[in-house]
Amino acid sequence: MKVKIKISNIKAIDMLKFKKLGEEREKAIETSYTDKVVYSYPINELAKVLHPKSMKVMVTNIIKETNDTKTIVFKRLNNEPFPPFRAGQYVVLDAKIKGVSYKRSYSISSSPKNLDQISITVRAVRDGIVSNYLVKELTLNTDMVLEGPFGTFTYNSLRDKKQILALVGGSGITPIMSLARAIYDKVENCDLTILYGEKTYADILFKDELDKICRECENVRVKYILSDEKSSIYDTGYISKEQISEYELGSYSYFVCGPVHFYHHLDKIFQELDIPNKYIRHDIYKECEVGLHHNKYTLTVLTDNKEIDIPCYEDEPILKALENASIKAPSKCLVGVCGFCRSKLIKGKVKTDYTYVRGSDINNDYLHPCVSYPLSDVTIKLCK
Amino acid sequence: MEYDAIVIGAGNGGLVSALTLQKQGKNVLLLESNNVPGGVATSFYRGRFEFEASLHEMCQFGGDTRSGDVRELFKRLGILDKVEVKELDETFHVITLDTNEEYEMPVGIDNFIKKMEEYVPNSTKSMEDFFELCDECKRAMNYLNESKGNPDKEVLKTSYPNFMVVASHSLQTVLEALKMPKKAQAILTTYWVYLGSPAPYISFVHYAIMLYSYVVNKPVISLNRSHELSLALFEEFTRLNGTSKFLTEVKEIIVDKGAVKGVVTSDNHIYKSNIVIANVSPNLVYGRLIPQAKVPKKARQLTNARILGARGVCVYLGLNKSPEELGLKNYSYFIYHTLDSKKEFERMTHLKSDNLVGVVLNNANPNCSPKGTTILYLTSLYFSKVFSDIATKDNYFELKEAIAENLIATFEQATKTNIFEAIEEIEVATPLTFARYTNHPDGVIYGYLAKKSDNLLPRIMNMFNENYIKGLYFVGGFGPRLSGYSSTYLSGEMAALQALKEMGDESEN
Ligand SMILES: Cc1cc2nc3c(=O)[nH]c(=O)nc-3n(C[C@H](O)[C@H](O)[C@H](O)COP(=O)(O)OP(=O)(O)OC[C@H]3O[C@@H](n4cnc5c(N)ncnc54)[C@H](O)[C@@H]3O)c2cc1C
Ligand code: FES
Repeated sequence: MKVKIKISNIKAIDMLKFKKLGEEREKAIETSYTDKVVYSYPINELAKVLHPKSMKVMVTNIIKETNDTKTIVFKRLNNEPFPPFRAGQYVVLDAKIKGVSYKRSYSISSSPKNLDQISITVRAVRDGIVSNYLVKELTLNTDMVLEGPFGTFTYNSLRDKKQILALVGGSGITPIMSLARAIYDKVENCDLTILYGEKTYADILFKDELDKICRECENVRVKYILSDEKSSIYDTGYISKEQISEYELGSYSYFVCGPVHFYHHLDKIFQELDIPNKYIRHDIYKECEVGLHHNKYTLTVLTDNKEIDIPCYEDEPILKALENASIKAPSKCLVGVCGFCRSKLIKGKVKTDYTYVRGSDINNDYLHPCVSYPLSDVTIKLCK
Repeated sequence: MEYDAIVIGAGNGGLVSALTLQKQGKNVLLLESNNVPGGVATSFYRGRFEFEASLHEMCQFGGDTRSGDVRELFKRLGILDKVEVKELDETFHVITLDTNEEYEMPVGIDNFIKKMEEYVPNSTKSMEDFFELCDECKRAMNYLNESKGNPDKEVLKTSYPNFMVVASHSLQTVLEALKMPKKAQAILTTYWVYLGSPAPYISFVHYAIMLYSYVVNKPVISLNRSHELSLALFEEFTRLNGTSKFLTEVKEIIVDKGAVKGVVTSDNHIYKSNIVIANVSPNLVYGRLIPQAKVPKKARQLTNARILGARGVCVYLGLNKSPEELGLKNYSYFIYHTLDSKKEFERMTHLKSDNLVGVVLNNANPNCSPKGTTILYLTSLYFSKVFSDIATKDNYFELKEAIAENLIATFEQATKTNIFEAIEEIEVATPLTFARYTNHPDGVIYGYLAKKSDNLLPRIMNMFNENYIKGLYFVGGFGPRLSGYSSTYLSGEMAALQALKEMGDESEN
């Protein structure tokens, strides 16, 4: 099929030019400079500064906050500042305990203003291997490894209301403490009211500093609510619908951080108050590190061209079984959100949470082992 | 352990290369520094939204009856039934901010020409010629591909005479020569930003093939996001016993006596092979992965001669209203200040440029997010290193938010909608994000700028002379077919076939 198209003007030079395309390219190459190829781009370098693969750090201070809670302060071994972070972000701590490496995520509690050192605040939970180690055994000058900062539990001026009502249960105060400090230090520009629920007066974290920030900074307010203690000064009980309604509905974004049952409790209230999803931000919540160790199965792990059999338990996430067996597996958030632990289920039945698993990953049998529990013998393949 | 071939990077190009070779019975090692396959062809979750990381629309795919090259490739690779795609019934919708124009173009040649005639009277003749020419260019390119670098001059002359006439010219030159009315030229050029090069620079053939495919084959999207496409390739590769390693970065390519011998990874493993297929930039390969002393002069010259292409910012929005509630009825919105691509290209060397492409995913894929919500992407390109020049570690967060705010405001203005009040989730990817995720120089997302001798045809014509190191091939956006889904997939197969030939094992396809 030949078509006659009138392509005026350029007809005369056609054929020759086509043949010359290659030659012209050749020429362009030959006349280009011969210097060595320099692979150095400021933005690629900046990316490494903002997102280091991991950071070697040293414990420079341990502050006792309450009976069961300590703040741990780190500086980088290379003396570089920490990468800038947003209040509300977390780091992943790699703790070596009796030869086993455990990774845990902790919100940064310090202000984003000071990057020479950052801190996390840890409450020892019953049977928690890492939290008890950190609170009871960790000593000054210990070297550790941190990854991060990660996470999206941060204030965003394009999305959130300028007024934040933080609803906090217990040690969930840590990311909000970072936010309060950030506002005080004028790093974040929003207005923060904290409803801070604790068991007893003695359990309240950062009380002196919070009170000081509230006195000196008109954009931060705190109200303590005690659940397990009668008090004539503070509200008591659980954070209630009435307390939340005291803050004009429609004017606030709600930042929630606390234990799992706390989320369930508040989700119900939000529903009753008809608050749109848009105004509710949840921090990733942390399951308690407890295991009842019943119903034992065999977990077969395919990794690095090897096949390894290890024990696993019905009430323990698969990621934990890997950790106990010292099998290196990728992980970050530990609560199913980040997808970093993504692995393929080859065989067996599991109970798992697919909320943050990509649709096509689900169709191809991928899951997040940090929120997957075995219901039979199971075989998984790690992605590394 | 010795492999028949090692592929660096599991982006589109790398995945297709790896699978093509593995399918031919080769023993392939695929190395990827991230934890998922696909490179930028992936997806991610924020709140209740699964966001597509890059794919707006793919060309050269088509459906059963108008099967395109990529669809045929997927068939050959045995993965066509593993992916769910959807054809779109519109091409582009363009809005200009300064001149207040708005044009909506359909699929199908007849419809397209008819619509153009409505907008620009007396454009039909030149439009018909244009599409005839597109068709011939498409067939000529197929012939060039089949001839594997050795086209018969006579065949070219007799079967593809018009192609020969236009092959060396820019889009602008040929549209002028077709005597297409200026306004029709301007509208027709809307897609220029997809190729990251304006009408005076971009090769006519390159643009023609893309537009033709969108109009004839229709644009397609992947219903389960591009992650499904990447995963289909990867799962098939694995099923055929291909070896892969994630979270594994290649830090050196071993070269001896002008030939590749293997790679060294960041965990200090050495893997041997006489074939290395790089789904990464020549800048990285010649500037960092291969010791300088072993980089041939020509390779240095070629790399130094090239100009990096588009960088980009992408704002991913999860909105808590449906597209109807928001008043968004199209899938893609091209928003420029004017329709003059050269002028807009210049504008986009500045950070304050707010030219953008908006994509409303739900309008093509209604179940992509929970009922009553919308997924909207705003992508804006930069044709300079302006973002790197301005971003610092202290202003990065602010800069990101300011750019996003500007783009959303522009989109609101152009479409007369209210977006801000509906934002439930927002994520912003910048050149820094892409630099970190892909390792590409300055975070470019489109490889090298398609201009002059670095346009499609010269790249393809010379690709057999540019293997300066024996056994080393480039695929993906920096490769001979340039950037884009279809191009990068096809580049993967091209390199694999070349490699097979080198292994002395030329296959039938
Ligand atoms: C926002 C956006 C929108 C887009 N929209 C479209 C569209 O609508 N239609 C279209 O056709 N195209 C589109 N594109 C372009 C298209 O996505 C790309 O051209 C294509 O996906 C690039 O594929 P690639 O093969 O070059 O691989 P890349 O995606 O660039 O992947 C390279 C891979 O190599 C890995 N790697 C890098 N260095 C190393 C190393 N040293 N060792 C190991 N691994 C390494 C990286 O981790 C990465 O996975 C878009 C791109 C972007 C960013
Ligand atoms: S570690 Fe984040 S999803 Fe499992």
